[in-house]
Amino acid sequence: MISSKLFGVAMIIYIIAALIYVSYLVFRNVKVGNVATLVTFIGLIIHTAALISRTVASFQKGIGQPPFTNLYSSMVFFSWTIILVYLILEFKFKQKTIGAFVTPIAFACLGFATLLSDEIEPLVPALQSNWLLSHVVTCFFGYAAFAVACGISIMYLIRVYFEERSTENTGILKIFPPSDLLDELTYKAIVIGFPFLTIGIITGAAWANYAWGTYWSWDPKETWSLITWFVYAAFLHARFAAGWKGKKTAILSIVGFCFVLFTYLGVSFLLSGLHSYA
Amino acid sequence: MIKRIIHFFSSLKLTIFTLILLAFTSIIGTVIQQRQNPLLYIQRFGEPLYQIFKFLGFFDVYHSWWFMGLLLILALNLLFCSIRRFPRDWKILVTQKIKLSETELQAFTSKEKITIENSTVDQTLKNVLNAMKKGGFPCKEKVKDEKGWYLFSEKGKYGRLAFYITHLSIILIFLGAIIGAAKGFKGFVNITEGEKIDSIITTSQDGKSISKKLGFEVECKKFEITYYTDEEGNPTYRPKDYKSLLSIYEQGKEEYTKEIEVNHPLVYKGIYFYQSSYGDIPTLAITVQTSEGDLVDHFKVGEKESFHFLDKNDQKIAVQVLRYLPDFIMDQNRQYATRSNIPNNPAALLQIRRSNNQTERTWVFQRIPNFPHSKSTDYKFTLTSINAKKKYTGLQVAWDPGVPVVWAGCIILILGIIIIFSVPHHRLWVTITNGGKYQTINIIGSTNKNKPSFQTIFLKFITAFKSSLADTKK
Repeated sequence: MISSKLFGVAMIIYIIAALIYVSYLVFRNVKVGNVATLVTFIGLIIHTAALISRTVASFQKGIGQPPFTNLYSSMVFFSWTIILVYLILEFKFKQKTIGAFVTPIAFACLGFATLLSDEIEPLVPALQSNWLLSHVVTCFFGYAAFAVACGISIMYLIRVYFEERSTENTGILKIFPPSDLLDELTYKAIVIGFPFLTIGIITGAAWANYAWGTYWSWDPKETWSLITWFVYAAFLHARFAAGWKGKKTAILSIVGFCFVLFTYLGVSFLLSGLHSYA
Repeated sequence: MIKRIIHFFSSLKLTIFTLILLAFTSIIGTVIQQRQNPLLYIQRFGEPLYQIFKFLGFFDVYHSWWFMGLLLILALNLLFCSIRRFPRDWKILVTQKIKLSETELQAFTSKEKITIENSTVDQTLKNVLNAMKKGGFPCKEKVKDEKGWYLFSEKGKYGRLAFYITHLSIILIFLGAIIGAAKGFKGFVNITEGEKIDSIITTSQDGKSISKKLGFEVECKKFEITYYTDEEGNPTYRPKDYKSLLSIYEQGKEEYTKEIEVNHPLVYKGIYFYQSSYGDIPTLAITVQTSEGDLVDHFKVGEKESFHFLDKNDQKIAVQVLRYLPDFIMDQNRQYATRSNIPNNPAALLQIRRSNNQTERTWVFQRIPNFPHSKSTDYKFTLTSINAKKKYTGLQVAWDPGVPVVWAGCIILILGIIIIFSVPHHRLWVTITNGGKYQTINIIGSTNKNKPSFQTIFLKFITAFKSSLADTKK
């Protein structure tokens, strides 16, 4: 399929972008940074084209579905949202260094997708709903923002590790943004992700109510999304109101993203429930 | 004592602790399958562990006393936080203090001091008002006293209310859930195409099935199913869509008709009928012959139905189809079962009752017409064909009066969260102290959230403010 080839191209572009971002980290050359952003942006455009072409192909087959209804397509979509959210954050906060940590995640998602079947499969009746689009899109934007937050938190912990061992402004300390900024960016990313996750859970509940007659049935996927919600709600209260900062919130952000990954992948592979199709 | 209880329930530490505890305990219910047969648990965990888990409520975590307790603590926490915080916010909303005392001025971190030489207080006031507007914080209120002027500006005042609507919306969702659990019901019903029902089957708290009267009748007028086609256009066994045409009858009178399918339920008197499954109601064609091979008759019957004929002595012989298996197999435990719903090896168990009440049972197979009957009978029964065109529609039935409350809570929650993070309350005080020929201007800024980003906004304001003042001087 043409879309699969385009996804492959996007994947290669992202790994190139990641390398340029790393060299930007090392050399701190503004031009290199701009090139990194440009390359990522080109990757995003090709990625978008691939998503559109997959959707068109699906309509041509008479199935007509948005491009995220099985693991392959959702993975590809997840990768797309990560890059999109990252570019928005980069544009807003003018911080290019984070790209070195985020583009590899998008690359890995696409790489994982290539291991899966790219077949466009027909939808079971339960998935044929207008709720599908809003539910999946909001969930994935939330996931993507949390992925970016997790990347920044890892950077934070690495930086703090070196800060505690050295007072000189060399090596990692010279390359990474100041820890306060990383802390602030983690928080910003989660503030973006949390409303999306909330809307995602609620649209899911609304859909479940409409399709199965119950808005909440404690099915593993639902429960895990709620668990994730609890963790990020705890993060926001800790950070926003209780004034926790630094390591504690960084760890909470990483734990939160592990829970996101489990909600997205672990539940489908390890636990059984109503979400068995995705 | 009461103060300590209020303090405990309104503490932020309790919020974080409860949220994390809820997150981790929720995992239990996704690892252990919930609400299963006790025997399955005993088989899996052994008797002692089963008793411990049962005591801890691990087999129905989300309805256990301690989980409910955690949710109650969360609700109380939300409520107490809101109550404790409200008077302060109300004061800020209703009676904004314009004149700050010297000690209050010291408490703020965002501040700036400017001195204007060779100007009158009126001229400075005019310039300051203009500069505030240019800086993006136009003056909302001003007060004068013997020392000079006190000006005040603010943005996003009502953003403060987002805290309350967000937290109370969660309590609203809880309320909706409680209403649903207390007053609503959930059940299911299978309706054969062309038939009517007036009650459904619900499950009681202890897992028993109870029949529940609806107070009206529901008819399945028609059931339709379509399948996906493969590349060559041949139908596959993947259902694409299934629909039921349902009609509601009140005292025999047709009131309402709607075609339902998955994701498109019928709603009548607040009761939702959801398309959830379907199945075949097969009709079996059975031929009866005498042992000599003379035809007695052909019959068409469904499962559990009976037919009868007369023997040579005009005595009635009644035959009932006890069981029908579309894909007959004998499993490891020598039990009869069906492998699938596709009629690969249709078989029926017949019970033959004679007029003297003597009964016998025998299996008949469509694919093996000469399979010997279990006992020597003087008749030969042949299963000639299966007609599976007639279907039943499987409906989930639910009435949940709490749903509108839950949705109201959800919508408010979304709005609240968005406003909380996007509408901070920024306040700015500007005081002009008159020293005769010169005036001292003090600028103080405050926000209720995200201090670092406010600091940037504040500094931007100061720059714009100063340049505006400098312009007017020229």
